[in-house]
Amino acid sequence: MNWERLEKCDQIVLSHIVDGNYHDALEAMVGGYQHVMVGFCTNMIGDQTQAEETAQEIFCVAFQAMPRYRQAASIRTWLFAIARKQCFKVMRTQRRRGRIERERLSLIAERSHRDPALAPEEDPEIAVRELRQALQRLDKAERSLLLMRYDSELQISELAHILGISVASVRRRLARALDHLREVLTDDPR
Amino acid sequence: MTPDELKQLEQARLYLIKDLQRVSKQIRPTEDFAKRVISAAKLRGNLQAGWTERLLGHFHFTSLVGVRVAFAIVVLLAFLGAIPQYYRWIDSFWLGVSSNQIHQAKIQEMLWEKNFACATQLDQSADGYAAITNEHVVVVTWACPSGDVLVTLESPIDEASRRSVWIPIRRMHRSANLLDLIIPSANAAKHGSRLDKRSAQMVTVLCQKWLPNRFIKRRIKLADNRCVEEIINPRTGDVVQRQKSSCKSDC
Repeated sequence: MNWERLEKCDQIVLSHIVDGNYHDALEAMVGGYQHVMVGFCTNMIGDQTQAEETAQEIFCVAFQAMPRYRQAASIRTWLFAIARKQCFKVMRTQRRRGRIERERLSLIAERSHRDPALAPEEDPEIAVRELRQALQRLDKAERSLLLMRYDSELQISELAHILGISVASVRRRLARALDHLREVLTDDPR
Repeated sequence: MTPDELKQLEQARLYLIKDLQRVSKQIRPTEDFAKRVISAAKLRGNLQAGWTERLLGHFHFTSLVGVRVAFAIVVLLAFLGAIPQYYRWIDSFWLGVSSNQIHQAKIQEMLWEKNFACATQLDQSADGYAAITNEHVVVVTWACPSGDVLVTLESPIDEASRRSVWIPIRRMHRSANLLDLIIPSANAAKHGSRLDKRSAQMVTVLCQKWLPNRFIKRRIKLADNRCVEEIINPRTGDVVQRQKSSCKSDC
């Protein structure tokens, strides 16, 4: 994650918002954060098409909320707070079991056709796909926490602001989420 | 959990964290994603600014704290100044009358309470009873020992249409003739001998009592010996319900 580039983007977005140029702020925000948001939503929801729609909705909600932006948090933190809420909203109405089962079956099929000389743990693509599937089996709160911390590289203080809890609580929840992820990965999916 | 404890755990789970840092690497939005987002946002049109922002416009993002404070004070004063009106609305709701009738409604209810026993004894043959009628209305008056007078207006053609109003003694001092309060002397002059003191429909109250909802239930005996039971709203004097009943004197 290139946070230096995104920090510059944040400054540009903020100055547009302060000046009341919300359309310019939106364009700058989309330009800087579209990859981040689509990636986050894909890993949260599990389906890239729906993830793009959700990411689109996130930017629209942020655009409409710009006049109320109080600068209590950075642009990045504010945007991720919106993203988390929107993903949760989508997931509440989503049917996940059928999709997870299909992914499990495709992973098994892929393994059976893999080069036998290559061990599973040595194939990075398989590892990432297994991780994605394991993430889908986590509680959505833990999933979002792990993605925001390790994939999107938000600071612990930023996570505390987004979740409205203390920094110590964030650390505890991260530790628990990492343990749960490890348990899910070590479970035999078959 | 301390930062060091988390750091130790993260070291132990480093392989997981490294994989987590790669989960989004190969995910790319479609080429037209940015265009779609901007069009969708523009289509949404109006920005849903909060009401303070709509009122203050660009002041929202300035450091004009004084403006915000002044605005807040004005809103607070307006809110506080409207408190008597809120009470009127609440009274209006509970009493079932419009807000400009609250004062009279409370007076009427108070007079019903004050003269309740007297109103129960309403009887055509008693001294305090008087009735006057023309082709459009029948007026029955019932004077109580307190000096307050219960005036009941009835329609000769619609038995169910009746309204009772208390006139407190204070108001009688302004007029030598009680009937002037009810029927203007001009009207009396117009109808002349057609006015006669016939018996009205409401002749005898058999019993009455307060209901839990602060309405009054009364049973009355009419001139033709029929008995009816009525529910009266003491605040407006209206008969809200009426039905035939036995002529028992226990309500």
